[in-house]
Amino acid sequence: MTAPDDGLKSELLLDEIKRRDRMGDVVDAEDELVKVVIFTSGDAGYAFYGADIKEILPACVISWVPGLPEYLPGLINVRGDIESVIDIRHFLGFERIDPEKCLVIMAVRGDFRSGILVDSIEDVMDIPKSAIKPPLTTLGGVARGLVAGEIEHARGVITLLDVEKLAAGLNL
Amino acid sequence: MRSRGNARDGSFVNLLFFSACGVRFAVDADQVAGTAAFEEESEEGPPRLFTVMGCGDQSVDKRGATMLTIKSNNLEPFRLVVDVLEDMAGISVGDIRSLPPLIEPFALQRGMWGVIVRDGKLVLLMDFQRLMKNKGPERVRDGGD
Repeated sequence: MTAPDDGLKSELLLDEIKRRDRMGDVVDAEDELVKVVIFTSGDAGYAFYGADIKEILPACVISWVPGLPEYLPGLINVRGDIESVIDIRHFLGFERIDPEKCLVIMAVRGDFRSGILVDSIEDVMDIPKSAIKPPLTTLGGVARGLVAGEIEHARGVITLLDVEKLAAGLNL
Repeated sequence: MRSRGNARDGSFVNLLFFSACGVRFAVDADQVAGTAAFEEESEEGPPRLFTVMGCGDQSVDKRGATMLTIKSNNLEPFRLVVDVLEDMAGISVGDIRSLPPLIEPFALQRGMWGVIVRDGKLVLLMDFQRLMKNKGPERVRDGGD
């Protein structure tokens, strides 16, 4: 057996790893955390900033209103407040599905306030702001104008959508 | 028909409730001059509400169809057919909500201006005068778009 030796390569490596860990802790502490709500629509994962999401509602009855554009399935009654609902699938290029099989997330940003239909909620988590990368995926059409960035998640790369851009796209 | 309520004093407005294509509507009873059962025997006759609203052909419940005679400012009354006439009730003006901002511009174009919750379900408030103003009286009489 070899006696403990300060010059052991493993000791040097271990010191380096611990030093990096300490540095990493310092960096993480300084990196602002942002909450994101990860959801699915179609066969893909997306997210909104948690700060823009007021609540997540279970599947509820959507009252159809004649004459609305395709991206507005109708109205919902949220404890007496009448809210509009947007079908995000329309903007992401997916086929419309039965709205009553979906969840509604209530998005509020400035003057904008509406329910948004999503297929399911995957996760609500805090991530470092630095983990949000510029969008690299090749989203087409209207969806491109909604993207704030991309984040890594257990289910793969998630496209972060911006409620403010969605509102602007609706000409509010 | 005569509304006994006075919206200006914050009390109530008399609404006539009806449905068309599965959607529940209500209109200020003051706008309705009369109602009559409607037998759809031919393609001639007053237009359906959804046709007038420019919402295309929708499934229609022909059981108990009712013809509404609508008062018209400075013009002859015009007639519309709805699926089912439900009832008339006084509704507190305070219970009427405006439509959400995303919905309102599209709804106003077709005469819908507010919403109430009745029996847990949403009822769209219709203003036939507004509909006629937006669509034009001749187009309303001809059946919309």
